[in-house]
Amino acid sequence: MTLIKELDYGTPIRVSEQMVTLTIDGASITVPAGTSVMAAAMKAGTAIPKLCATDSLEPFGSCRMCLVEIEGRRGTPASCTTLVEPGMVVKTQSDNLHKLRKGVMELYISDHPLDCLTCSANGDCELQDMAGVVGLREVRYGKDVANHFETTSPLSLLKDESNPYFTYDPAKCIVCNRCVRACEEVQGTFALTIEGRGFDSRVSAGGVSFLESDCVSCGACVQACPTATLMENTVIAKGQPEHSAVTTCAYCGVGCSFKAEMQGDEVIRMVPYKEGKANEGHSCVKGRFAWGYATHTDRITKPMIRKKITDEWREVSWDEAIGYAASEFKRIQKTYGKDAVGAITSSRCTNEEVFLVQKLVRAAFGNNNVDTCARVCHSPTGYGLSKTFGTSAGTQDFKSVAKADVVLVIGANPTDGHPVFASRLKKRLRAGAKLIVADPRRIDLVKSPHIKAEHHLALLPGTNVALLDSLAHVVVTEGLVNETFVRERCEWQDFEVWARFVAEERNSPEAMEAFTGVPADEVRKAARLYAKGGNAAIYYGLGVTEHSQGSTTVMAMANLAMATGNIGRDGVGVNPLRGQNNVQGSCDMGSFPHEFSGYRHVSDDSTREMFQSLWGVELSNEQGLRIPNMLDEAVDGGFKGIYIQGEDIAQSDPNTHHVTSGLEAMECVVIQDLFLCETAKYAHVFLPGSSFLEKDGTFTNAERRISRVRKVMEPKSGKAEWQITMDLAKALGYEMHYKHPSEIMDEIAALTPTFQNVSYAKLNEMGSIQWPCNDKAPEGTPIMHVDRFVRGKGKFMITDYVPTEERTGPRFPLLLTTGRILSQYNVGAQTRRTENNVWHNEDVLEIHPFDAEQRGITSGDLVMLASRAGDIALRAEISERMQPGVVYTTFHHAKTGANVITTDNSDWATNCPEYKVTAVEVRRTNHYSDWQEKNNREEIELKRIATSIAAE
Amino acid sequence: MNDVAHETITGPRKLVKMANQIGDFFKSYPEETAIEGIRDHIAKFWNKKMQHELFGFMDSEKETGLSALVEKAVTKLR
Ligand code: SF4
Ligand code: SF4
Ligand code: SF4
Ligand code: FES
Repeated sequence: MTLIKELDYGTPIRVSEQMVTLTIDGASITVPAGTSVMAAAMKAGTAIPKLCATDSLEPFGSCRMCLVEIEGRRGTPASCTTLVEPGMVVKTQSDNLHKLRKGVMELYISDHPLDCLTCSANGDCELQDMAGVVGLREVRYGKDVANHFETTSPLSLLKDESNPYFTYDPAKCIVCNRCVRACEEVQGTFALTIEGRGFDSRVSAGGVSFLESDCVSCGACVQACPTATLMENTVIAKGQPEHSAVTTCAYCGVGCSFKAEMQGDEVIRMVPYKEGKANEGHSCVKGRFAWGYATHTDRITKPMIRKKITDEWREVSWDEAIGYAASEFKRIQKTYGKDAVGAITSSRCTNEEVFLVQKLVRAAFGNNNVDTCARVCHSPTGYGLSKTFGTSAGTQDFKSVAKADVVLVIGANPTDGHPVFASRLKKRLRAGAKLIVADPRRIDLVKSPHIKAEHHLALLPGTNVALLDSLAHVVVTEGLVNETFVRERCEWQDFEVWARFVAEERNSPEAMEAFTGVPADEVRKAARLYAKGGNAAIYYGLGVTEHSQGSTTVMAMANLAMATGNIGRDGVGVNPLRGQNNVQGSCDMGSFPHEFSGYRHVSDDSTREMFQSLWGVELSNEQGLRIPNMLDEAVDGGFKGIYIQGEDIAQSDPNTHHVTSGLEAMECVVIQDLFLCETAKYAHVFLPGSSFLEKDGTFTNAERRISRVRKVMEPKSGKAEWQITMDLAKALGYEMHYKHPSEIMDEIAALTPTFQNVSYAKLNEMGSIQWPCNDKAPEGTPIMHVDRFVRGKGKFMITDYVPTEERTGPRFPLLLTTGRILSQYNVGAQTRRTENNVWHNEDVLEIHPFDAEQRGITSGDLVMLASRAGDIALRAEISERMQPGVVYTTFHHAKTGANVITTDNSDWATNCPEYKVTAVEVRRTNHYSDWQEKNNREEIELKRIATSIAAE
Repeated sequence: MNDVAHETITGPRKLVKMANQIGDFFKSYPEETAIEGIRDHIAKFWNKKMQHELFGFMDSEKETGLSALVEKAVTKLR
């Protein structure tokens, strides 16, 4: 393996129908109109010297290194800012140009330390490269004027080491502006400026340190910097990487592509990969920097077992651990029946690993008790979209947002949850697209630098359906329906029934205002904008799905998109933003109790026969239990054993009391994880898993994009996760024979029509593939439902608003809604074990000043948060982002126990829990809750590991 | 704050609640479609044991708490 170096064309690659032919250094080249001379030269194989240009940014024309001569033009124009023209004749080299470039270089170097040998960028510095290219041999200036690099110089500035992941060393800055532009153009945060003028000028994070500034640590500036000025701390500490592999981020559903840059089997840095279609070279703090958990000392790398959860853990051999788990599962099935065991698959594991776990359940357990953590996040997406469109997935690729004119963001907070998508979205908004935000909180998108939402519909938690129905009411009653589209593409009769329903007065914005709290007038305006503003796209998150009417809301959005004809082309669509990296994949892979891979019901005989004949075993035609049903059954005594792949249900699932009593009632809980997570407190067998850096496989992101995960180090436990599942299946009496994850993918392709043509060979060749990928769509499918819906015709569904049973009252007068923040991820098992804690080290309760004042609460007070389900204590933070009556917290920290509060209300169709609405009361306190005290004790009691008795 | 009584419904009462929620979605459809929708949903997504538990509850209790619509649909399922 070598270090992958991507070509830098200097300016963005343009697309155009129109092609232009010109001559560069005597050779003819044809490029799309709008291309710069610099990029055209690079395409022809000539790298023109440059410093301030890089192809992730618009040209700036400040350094004057890239000068060229053009026939018929006076002077020496900059090739980065000059666009190609037909018949242009360009010369990139001449004595004059050489002299000019050398002069520029000499000036730069006169204010730059000559410590290349000890510099962290040594070997990867564009300034160094350019000095070499122009043949700089001496520096005549600068000897007797003040410079920026000598510590004794009046101009010298201190290094900024406040960010835990990168350092700013002003001594090395050439003021090329690339960092400032990256922060604006790529990331959209506008944290950096150039302070001072002329020779004195330097980059500044708004006059404060990076950590105190608006910087979100995305790393775009570090990547854009051509020198050592902005540099990853790992490179400063360890030196330049020597080889790399392309892999996929293991955090959120954006699924960014990264180069893992290595020294031996040690990661030096993760650099976003330009060719990666989900992120096109951008990243966020999690994927870029927060990978240290993979080698954290908390990693458990040896299998362990114990008879009772109060026993100490005992390290054992793989054989003993797997043998014990299998014998327990067999005993349980013999005593309590075949259906008394099941498994949960993880959206953090690869498609291949997930596929094997569900195969184990169906083939070795002989039942269909397999579910995935998507149950608790996006199951309503699957249900709602398959009912209306016929497929359980988002309709677009991320790139599509660049063609949207109106964007409706509902129940999602992309700048925190899906940052790289948020950067794309903000870029489009800065270019003029209009934004509608429907969210109880004033999220960052509502107003941030150069972004302002046209409408912020600040609805009360739990009223999404009411809001969407009233938007639809306006569309139908004000004649904004795209009738041609509906007649051609949808079931007309269903449309008519639906249109009559939403047109009813009770669905008008005026009537619904009583529930949603959103002024009717604002709703009317937003509806008109959505229907008539051009290409309109909906992006949504868990604020849609995690409700008792989650599935209904998904259908209501689909209705709205169909009624206005916003489906089936670039720039439109209905798009879930998925929480975890492989939520889409784990659903596709058939880890549902009622469905095989590709969303086919287990009672479908022909599908089942296909699986039976390939797997050589009889399969059950009866759907199994979903996660909440498993826990209910466990509490009732009928469900006794579970195999949990990389999920921490004791922290992530709602109503912790109920979850833990379910787990406690089980006789064999097998956990496969990196760490002794919360759920592991209730486990009897611990099978050490591997991080994404230790595995080969694939993840499928929210755009249905299948991307490779590539192994850059051996599993710390000595066994790959797919091998663990295979061994467990064998011990249960069912043998599987795979030699590499690629063979598992081949089996998935053979059994799943939408994956028919997917293979590792094809993934290597194409980089990534969006399913469906089969004979009808051999190159995959970026945009779905183009000429017809997957189900044939689009189906409108009636979406009556039914208020949740979770109501406020005198005891619980406030509504709690939950979410997450940028620097932490989900239950925090990974991010809490990184430096990301400098941004967020505890969950806090956000509360509106009005509610706080009434209760005598000030920021920083410890407050008791209580619901019908339980109570916890945490610190309060007064925040105007909240509306009165609504409080908010995150669930990243196990010790907070936010899910002690959430109830077991759930979506009517999928049992996806209602995390987003809980009636609560808040009051000041001076002690932690009983649950928290107990949890603190158990944190020690239930996680003890026996110290090995005799050294072997 | 030990004065808070923690309430979690379990057993057949929870199934009744779940079934009624399904009923709430379909109730705006014409009765025939609604009954079929509810029946089909329970048949597809609830495992047999849950279904039987609900049937058993209907046999043993007078006041199940099921809405009339759901009761019709479940009866059809049996
Ligand atoms: S890390 Fe990202 S947000 Fe921070 S200054 Fe650099 S580009 Fe801006
Ligand atoms: S910090 Fe780097 S990218 Fe920014 S102006 Fe200085 S040299 Fe250029
Ligand atoms: S946006 Fe998501 S996938 Fe991309 S780097 Fe951040 S966490 Fe990883
Ligand atoms: S690269 Fe063209 S002016 Fe700097």
